[in-house]
Amino acid sequence: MGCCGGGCGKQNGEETLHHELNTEPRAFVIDRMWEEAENIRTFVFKGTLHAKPGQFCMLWIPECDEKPFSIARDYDGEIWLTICKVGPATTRLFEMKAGDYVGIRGAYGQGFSTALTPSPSPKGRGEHSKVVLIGGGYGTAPLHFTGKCHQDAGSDVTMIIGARHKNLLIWEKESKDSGFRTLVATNDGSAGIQGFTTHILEDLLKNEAIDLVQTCGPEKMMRAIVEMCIDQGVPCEVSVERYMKCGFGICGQCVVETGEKMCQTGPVVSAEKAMTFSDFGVFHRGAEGQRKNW
Amino acid sequence: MKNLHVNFCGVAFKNPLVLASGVLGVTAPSLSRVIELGAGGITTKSLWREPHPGHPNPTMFGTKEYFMNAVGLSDAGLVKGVQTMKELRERTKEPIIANIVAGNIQDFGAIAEAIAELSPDAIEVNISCPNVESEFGKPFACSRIDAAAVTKLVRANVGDIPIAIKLSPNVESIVDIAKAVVDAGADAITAINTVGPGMRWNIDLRTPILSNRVGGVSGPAIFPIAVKAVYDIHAALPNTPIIATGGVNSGRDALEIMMAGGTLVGVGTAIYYHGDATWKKFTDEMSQWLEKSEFETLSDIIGIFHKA
Repeated sequence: MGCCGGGCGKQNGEETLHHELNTEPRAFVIDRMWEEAENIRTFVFKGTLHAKPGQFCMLWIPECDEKPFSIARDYDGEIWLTICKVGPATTRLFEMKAGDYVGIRGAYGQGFSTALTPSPSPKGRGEHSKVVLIGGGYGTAPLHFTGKCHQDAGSDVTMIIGARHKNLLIWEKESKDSGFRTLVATNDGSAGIQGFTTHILEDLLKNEAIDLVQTCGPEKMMRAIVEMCIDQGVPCEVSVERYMKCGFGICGQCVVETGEKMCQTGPVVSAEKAMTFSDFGVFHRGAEGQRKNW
Repeated sequence: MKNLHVNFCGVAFKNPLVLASGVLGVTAPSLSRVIELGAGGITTKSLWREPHPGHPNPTMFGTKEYFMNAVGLSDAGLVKGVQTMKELRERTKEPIIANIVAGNIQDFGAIAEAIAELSPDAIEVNISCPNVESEFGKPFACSRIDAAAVTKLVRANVGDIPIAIKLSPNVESIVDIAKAVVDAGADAITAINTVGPGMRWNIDLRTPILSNRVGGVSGPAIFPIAVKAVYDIHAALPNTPIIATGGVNSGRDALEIMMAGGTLVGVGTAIYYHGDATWKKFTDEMSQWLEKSEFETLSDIIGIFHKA
C-alpha cells in the first residue's frame, strides 16, 4: 500500500482539539528491530498512530522514562522508530527484546508538507515537483517516510544524507531502493563527498530547479540550509527540535523565543517562520529551561 | 461597553483571568505570549532557591473529564528564576505573580526575600503541591501550624508585596487553614491546588501511567470542589481576596467561581482543552454576559452568591 493511503494525519494548519488527542500512552509490542548504524537501531511496532511524516510520538519505557521520537514510518500496519542510544532511557530501550511492551502516545505536532499543492512552478518546469530532502545524522530518520509520500504524489525525490563517518549513515540503502536520487556527504570523506550536506545543496540550487527543500538534522546545518533557500527563493521546511515533555502544549518546555510551542506549531515550520525565532540555530533549552548553545 | 477590570490587593488587572502556576511557565517568552493571547496576568512556575529536577516522564496526561500531573516542580533554581523574572518584566507591563516553593520553612523565607527584590506584583506561596510528598512529606498546607509559620516568615521578608498562600483541597478543613494563614499575615488565598493525589494505571502494561505513580487531579472534574472551597473561604473571610482556581473551563465557569468569592481566576488545565484560544474565548464570554447583566463592573459580582 502507498504511504499516504495508509492514512496520514491531519494536514498542517488544521486544528486538532487537544482533548481529541490520545494523551494516555497505549501499549505496543516490539515486533522486531535491527541496527542501522553504530548505536542507532530501528524498532518496529504493529499498529498505527495515523502519523504524517515529520510528526513525533512519545515513547514510554515503563518505570524508566518517556522521550520524544520522530516517526520513521507509519504505514502498512507498522510504526518504525529509528533511535539513537544517547542516555539512560534509550540505553534501557536497547536492552529490550522483541515481544517486550512499551507505551506510545501521539502522533503530535506539525509534519512536513507532502501533498504538494500544484502551484505554477516559479521556474516554469513540468508537472511533477522536484523535492530535495536533507538529513543530518539521525535527523535523517523521518525523511524516507516523507520521500515516500512525495513519491506517491508523483514528485521526484532527491535525498541528501550527511554523517560524520560512513558507519553513522542511516537510511541510505532504503533511500536508493525506493528510487530516490541519493547523495551522501561525510565529514571525513569515508562515503560520498567529503564535506557537508550544504555543499551538495549549494550545487543543486545552482544547477537545478527545485520546488521544495525539507530538512531535519543538526540545527546549525538547518540554519545554513534555510539561509541558502531563502536567498534563492526556494520554499523550505525545517524540523525544529526542542525539549518535548508533554507533547501537547501544556508544559511550555518546547517554546522558542517567540513564545510559540514547537510541539504544536512545530516541529516542522517554514524557513521564514524559523527565521523569526531568535534562538534558531543559536540555542535551545534543557529540562529545567536553562539555555544551551547549539 | 463594560470592561473586565478587577483590583486585587491594590494591583489592577485588565481582566481577572490569570495563568495558573506550572502551565507554560518555563520561560519568559512563553509567559509573555500568554499575556499577548489575552490573560489578565500570569503566575510563574514554582521558583526554587536551588535547581530541582522534578519527576521523569510521563508527568501528565488528560482525558475529556480530567487531567493528571506529577511534574514534581522542576525548576532551574534562583539564578534562572531571577533571569526569567527580569526578562518577563521587560516584555510585559501586565501583573506578574511570582510563585515560590521550598522544602522547608527557612528556604521559603530565603526564596521569598530573593524574589521580592525583583518587585513582582504579588507573590503566591505554594505550600500545597501533592506531587512531592515522597521527597518532602505532607505539604505544609495540611497543617495550620506549618502553614502559618511559612506565611509569617514570607510576610516578614517581602515588604509590602501582597502575598497569596496557595492551599490544598486535600485537608479536613480548608477554611481552618485559610484562617490560620490570614491571621499570620497573608493578604490573599489561592484556592485550590490539585485534588488527590490520584492514581491511574495502564492495564496492558500494568504500570502506573505517571512515573511518580500518583499525581494531582485538575480539569473540569474538580470544578465543583473548587467552587465549594472558594465559597466556604469567602464566607469565613469575606475581606480576603481569593485567586480562585481549579477546573475553570469556560467564561461562565470563571463568572461562577467569582460569584462564589474569587477576585482573580486561575486558568491552567483549560489550555489543554482550548489551546491558545482559551483567553479570548473566555473573556469574550464574560464580556457578553456582563454587558447583558445588571452589573456595572465585574467587581460587583465577586461573592454575590453570599448575598442571595
